[in-house]
Amino acid sequence: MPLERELATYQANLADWLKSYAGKFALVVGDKLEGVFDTPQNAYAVGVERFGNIPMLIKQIREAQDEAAFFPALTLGLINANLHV
Amino acid sequence: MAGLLVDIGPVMQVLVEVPSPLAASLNSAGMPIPPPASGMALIDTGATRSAVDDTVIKTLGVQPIGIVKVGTAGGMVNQSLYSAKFSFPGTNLPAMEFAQLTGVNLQGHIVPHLNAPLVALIGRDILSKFVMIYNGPAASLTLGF
Repeated sequence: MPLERELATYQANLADWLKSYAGKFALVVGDKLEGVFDTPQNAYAVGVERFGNIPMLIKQIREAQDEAAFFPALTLGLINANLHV
Repeated sequence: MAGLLVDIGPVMQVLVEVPSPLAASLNSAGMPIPPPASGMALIDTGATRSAVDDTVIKTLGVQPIGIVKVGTAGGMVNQSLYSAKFSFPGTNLPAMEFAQLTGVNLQGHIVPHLNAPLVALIGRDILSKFVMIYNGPAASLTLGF
């Protein structure tokens, strides 16, 4: 899985980071926190400027980590179904 | 007339480009900026987030910046997140810089009548910034911002 190391770093340090950076966006490369930012756009801009075009983790520092995305039309195969009634 | 909107859904042409910070980085390094990928975007009010076809974004060379769990019929799966820039030719909509687009597999989805590939889904994260009017009888869709 891509970003496995970065995600492990995030999880291992989350409790500490929450004390100082709750709500900010972490930029993690490898096993190092490279910065915290107000927006993911700023984190990405700094990450690309500093490291170039490499995989990097940009993730909000927060306790709830159960975010999920849903695309029902796609995952249920209903896009382009061309239903006629 | 209404049948066309029923058949093809609320779609619009989209150009998927590398995000601006990456374009600037490539430019300053004297490296070529990959040309935008053209296709159609489906406005999907059922989608929690906007999404981009992962083959398209990988072809542009954009690297992942996160992971998100995506609900599927078979359970939750991990998908990569990407930054990208969308622009919408033929409209006055502003270009949009997406910080965290979900990469999904849209390969093989061809928009009927237009014979163009579906390359993106516009989800509720972006729709939260617009007023959308879906006029079924007139087969028109209006996005106001």
